[in-house]
Amino acid sequence: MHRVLHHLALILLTGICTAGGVGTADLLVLTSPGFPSVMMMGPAGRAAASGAFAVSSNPAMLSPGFSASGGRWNLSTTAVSLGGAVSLGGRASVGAGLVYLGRGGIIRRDAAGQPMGEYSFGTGSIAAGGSLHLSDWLRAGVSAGLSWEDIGGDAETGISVSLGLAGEPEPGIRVGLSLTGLGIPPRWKGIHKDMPTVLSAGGEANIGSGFSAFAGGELGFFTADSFGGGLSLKASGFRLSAGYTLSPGEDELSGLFGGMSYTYESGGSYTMEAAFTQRDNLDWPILAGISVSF
Amino acid sequence: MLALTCVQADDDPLVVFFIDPTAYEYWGDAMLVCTPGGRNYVIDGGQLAFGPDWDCGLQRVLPLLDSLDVTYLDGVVGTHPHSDHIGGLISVYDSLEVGIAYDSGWPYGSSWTYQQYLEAIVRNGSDYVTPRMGDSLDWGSELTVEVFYPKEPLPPSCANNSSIVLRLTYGEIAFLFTGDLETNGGEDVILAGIEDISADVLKVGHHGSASSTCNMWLSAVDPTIAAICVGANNPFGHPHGEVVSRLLGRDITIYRTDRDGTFYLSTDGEEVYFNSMPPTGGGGSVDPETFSVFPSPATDTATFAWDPADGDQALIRVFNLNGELVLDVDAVDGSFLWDLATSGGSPAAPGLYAAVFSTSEGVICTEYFTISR
Repeated sequence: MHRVLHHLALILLTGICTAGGVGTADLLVLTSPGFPSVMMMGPAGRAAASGAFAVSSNPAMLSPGFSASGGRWNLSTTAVSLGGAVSLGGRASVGAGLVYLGRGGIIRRDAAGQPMGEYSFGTGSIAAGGSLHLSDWLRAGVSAGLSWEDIGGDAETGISVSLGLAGEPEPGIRVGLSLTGLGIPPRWKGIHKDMPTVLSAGGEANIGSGFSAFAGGELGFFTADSFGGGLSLKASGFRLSAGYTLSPGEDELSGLFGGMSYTYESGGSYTMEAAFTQRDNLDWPILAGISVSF
Repeated sequence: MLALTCVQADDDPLVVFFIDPTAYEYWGDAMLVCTPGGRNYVIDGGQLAFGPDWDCGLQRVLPLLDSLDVTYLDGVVGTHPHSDHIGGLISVYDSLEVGIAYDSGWPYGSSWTYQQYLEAIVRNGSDYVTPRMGDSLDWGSELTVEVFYPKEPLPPSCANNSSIVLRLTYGEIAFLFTGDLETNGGEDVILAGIEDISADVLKVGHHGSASSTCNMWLSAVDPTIAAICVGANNPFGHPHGEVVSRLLGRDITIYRTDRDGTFYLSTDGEEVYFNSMPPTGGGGSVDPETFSVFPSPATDTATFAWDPADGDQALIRVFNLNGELVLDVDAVDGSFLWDLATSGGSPAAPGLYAAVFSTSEGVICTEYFTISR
């Protein structure tokens, strides 16, 4: 445990020293939320959202079940995500997940600007991982996998690793800490770019009458920082959440986010959910999905 | 400057321009009537708005007047006090001498734009006239100009239904200008009060909103041509599909500024002729092919290119897949060469990018490209 925290601190310091490299990170699929449960909590979602999808965000938040989602992410890319996890005897869970973003219809142009047809862009990440209870209230998780980008048939692959901690120090309070986007970036013509490493912290606390408050932040070492929070209301199986993201120096990433879900209980939990994020110059990302929890 | 070499004054002596109000997500009405007798009248001036700033009068109406060597306006009609109709007239009043200011007179004291508009009329020294149903306007002996609306008392709660509605007749051809007149409280009042409202050309009310242009109205007007002033990116979905269906269902030919850009209808008193205009940066003139990023995929540099007719200057913003702003640059003369370095000076990563062009003419276009090192 101490070793993990030590490594986290080192990476944090390294990131602060290299801050200012926004736009230099490859494999930005790793910074996408992938699932509506993550998106509807804004910057807190990556660290604090719990579910079968969590191998793609904070693997310590992994819980048995299955999740699938789709929709639109930035730059009007089509998003498809899958995640599943099973319990290994109560103290441990393992799971796997896939996040994919793609866009077709990009006009191929030569050096003189002449159209030469169309091509597509695709990027994805497939990962597997697990979580383990370290104590009654604290869990740790790790996941690793392959990530790739395909630009008009020219594809490269990298390795991504995520680490996380999740805890429930008090009933009704859930906190998480994750470090995602570690690993080895693709090598494009012999050149390594940066990994989109993000240190995320977030938490959610019940504040009574069905309301809960959540807040969190993401410190990006080669991507943008963001901070935010919001409120969530649960009633009769429905959950509504809304909040605001502030991304210093990145107006496009600052704005409202929100979502809603409905959960039906019958031998398990069946949830339908959708979420959105505000943009000014780009189309608003929208994700919708279903999940089953055992 | 625009050149109207295709206008034949001897053959088509009455010309009505429908000026494209497209800019950003703005909308509006703006028209220019050039009479056979050499008089010129502006009917509405489009929108004045801020954030992003836009003045349709300054950017569209005045350049058109300049291209036609119009230095004096015999009259300006502000159909009703909404800013998408009278906002652009402030620049018009402040730039040219105007004979008569026709205004609905609808009290709109809380509107800053309307106050500025009234002050501009005062500064101009124009005669202030509030036409009413049954009046006739003197726009030259060869024309008949009838006022169909508004009537006293003005509707207290609906500025749209205070719109000045005019029928302009030259020979056998009539144009009906409707402002933002709505069906309830507007069209129905005219239908009940005036027996003959027929016209060959109908300026469709309220930018093609479904709140206007009902079937009874169309039956009574019985036009063969419909002209719609509408912004290409307006947030209301104008023109509404049901209105377009009503028009097409009657075999009415539709011309619309969001698709045709600025256009004009000319008539010799017997036939009506349609002509489009050179590009002005509006909806009809936007050709996505005029905006490009190349090569794509880009490996060493990327050139951002656009047609200067859409605006000499362009703000180019490039966003990556995370939505981060990677490049933010003002460019001129139709092209900009990017060395693929971020604002921080580091090489941009391979991946998908969106380039958002915002030109000085208010045209916005997004082009997608990739960087593949």
